[in-house]
Amino acid sequence: MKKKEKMRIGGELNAEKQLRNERLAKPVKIFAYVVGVIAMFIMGAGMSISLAENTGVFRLVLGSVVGIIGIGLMVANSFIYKAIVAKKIYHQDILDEAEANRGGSEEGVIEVKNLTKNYGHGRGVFDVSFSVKKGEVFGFLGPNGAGKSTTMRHLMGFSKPQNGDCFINGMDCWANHAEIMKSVGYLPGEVALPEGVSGKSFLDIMKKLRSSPDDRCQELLKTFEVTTAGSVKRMSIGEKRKLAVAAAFMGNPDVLLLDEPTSGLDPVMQEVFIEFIRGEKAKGKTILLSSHIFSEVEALCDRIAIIKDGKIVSVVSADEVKHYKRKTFVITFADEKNYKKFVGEPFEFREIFPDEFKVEIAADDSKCDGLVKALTKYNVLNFVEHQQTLEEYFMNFYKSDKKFGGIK
Amino acid sequence: MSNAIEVKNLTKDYGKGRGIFDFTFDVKEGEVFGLVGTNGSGKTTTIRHIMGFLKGDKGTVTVRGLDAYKNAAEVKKLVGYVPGQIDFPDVGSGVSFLKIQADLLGLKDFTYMNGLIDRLKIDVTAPLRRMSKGMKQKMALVAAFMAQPDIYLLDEPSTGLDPLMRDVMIDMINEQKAQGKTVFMSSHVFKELEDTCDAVMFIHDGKIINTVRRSDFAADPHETYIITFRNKSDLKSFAAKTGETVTGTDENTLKLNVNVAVKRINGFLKELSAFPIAGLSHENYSLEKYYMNNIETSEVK
Repeated sequence: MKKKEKMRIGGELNAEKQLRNERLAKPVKIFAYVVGVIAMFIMGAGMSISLAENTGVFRLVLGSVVGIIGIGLMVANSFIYKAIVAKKIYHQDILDEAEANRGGSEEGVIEVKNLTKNYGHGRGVFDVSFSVKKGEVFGFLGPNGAGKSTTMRHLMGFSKPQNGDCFINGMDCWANHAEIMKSVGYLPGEVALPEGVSGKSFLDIMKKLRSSPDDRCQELLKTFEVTTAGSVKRMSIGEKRKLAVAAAFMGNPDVLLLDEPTSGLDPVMQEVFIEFIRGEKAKGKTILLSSHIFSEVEALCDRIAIIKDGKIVSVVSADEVKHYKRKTFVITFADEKNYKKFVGEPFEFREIFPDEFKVEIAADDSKCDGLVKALTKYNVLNFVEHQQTLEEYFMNFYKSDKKFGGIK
Repeated sequence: MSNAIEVKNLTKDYGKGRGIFDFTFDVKEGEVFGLVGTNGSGKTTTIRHIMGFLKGDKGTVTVRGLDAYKNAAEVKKLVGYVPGQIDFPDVGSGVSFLKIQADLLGLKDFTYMNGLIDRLKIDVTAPLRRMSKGMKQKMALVAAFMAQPDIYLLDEPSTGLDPLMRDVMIDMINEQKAQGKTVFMSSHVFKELEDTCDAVMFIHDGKIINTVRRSDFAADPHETYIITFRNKSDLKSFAAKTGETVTGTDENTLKLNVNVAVKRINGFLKELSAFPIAGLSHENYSLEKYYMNNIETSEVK
């Protein structure tokens, strides 16, 4: 029976079946004990037979045989039991691995599983699942109204999923929203700060709430050039956003949810922000970031999910995108003669524009030398590099044929 | 050409160095005029003065000769306005909001408006309170553009729009410009300014730094190239020989930046072909670079 049990465990690699086997582990254990005790009795019986008074040769031999059988049974029992236990541990590894491959809560710091929230009119999020690993920056791209903010608001526990679950650090976001608010840094898409307080008192309140150390605050205020003087009501959107940025990072949280964080920031501040997030990433923070600014997504994200009409349509790694970006030059020639001759050259043409006497060619650094030398034979009007952008890569995801009714 | 908007010595001091100080500029009829500046530099304050929401401490603002503050009601009839921060009145769905707006403007023909709704892909049946930031922004654009007024005041109109919608907005502005309308807009996105504006004014800390006209850009176009050489001596001898303006060299990376007038490009390529090069790239001379140079140098005082 034991052997059968063992074989069954060995034969089943599936994690779910493993769970059933774990339940079977207890009877196996009890069985092993019972067999052990019986074996001891047999051994004892053998001993008492052979060691009793007035023993004849026959009884001595019989007792020894029974004793040896008992010892043998004990040894075999313990070996088989150990083998089963070992198999069980081996299975636990597989179980962990399977869990990790599914993006299980053991690994992903941010977990969204089959999240659905239907606002009607085809709006909302539908069966959205993704997981963000520790130390990863996960980008969220998509057209307006695709469901980026809705997803984030579920992760903050502001909204209850109709279906599915959201977890941060293994905590259910809806059930533990108080905990989530404490441990997660959140920068909302639309900043609504309490009015009638000064920037300074708002930050003081946030500092207390987040129990943030002084030097961290000072550092943040300096980095983002936050204006603390004056009433929040009087501040421009950009200044309010900077206040919100400082507030979000104050508690030095390990998980950051950033909803279009740089919208409304001026370009200088956008760069400061990107540098800051790079630093946070280097410290191992886990970040979910939504944005419409491709350069920022490109600069920061390890993986990028495209969400459209409430569904994730694609997840790409940053490497894939980098591969797409190749150096291309756009060359305009003076006339058709020059253009036609050049098209015959052995370059990699990505696109040609015969009406404008213009070509677009792919040329990495090693080909530049040859290109310059070849071009001296032509009359060139202009020669520029075409910056292949992430925007072009993703643009087709934004396109939609949906018709919207007007007002009658 | 007459001026659609005239601002003279406008000052509004909020104290602590905040506000705008001695602004003087004109926006001509039929011109798209851009306003760029860091956060808190005074862009919104300027636009709010033109809308007549604020009265300057000093100076005057006129829109088509009307005093923007005294004749605020008149001015509002001429102007389509997209505010920097959008707060809709709680009137239920997008449909009812747009209807109220059309009523106020006396708009009867909804063809253009419905065209915009379709291009901007707005679900107008959705309740305003439920709308995301991008959707609200699109609603505000429709509200400002639907009556096709003569003058547009747009305060960061592309905030929160996705790239495709930003392109639609740029088209909308350029279409209005083609009809001779005047647009005054602030933005942080240089591409949209480059795609629309005839002139761009840079402001910083409440002061005008510079105004760049498209004609200044277009008159004598230059391209900037970054050449990577194979060795130091090539780099040095090219730098010595070239007739173009070398704007920087780095002997460690063997890179050289050079500014070339577009009309001399053939000559430049001939010069360069005498050297074996390891790499070549080109940099756009953009408003963004201009801004970064100007703002960053002005901050180092």
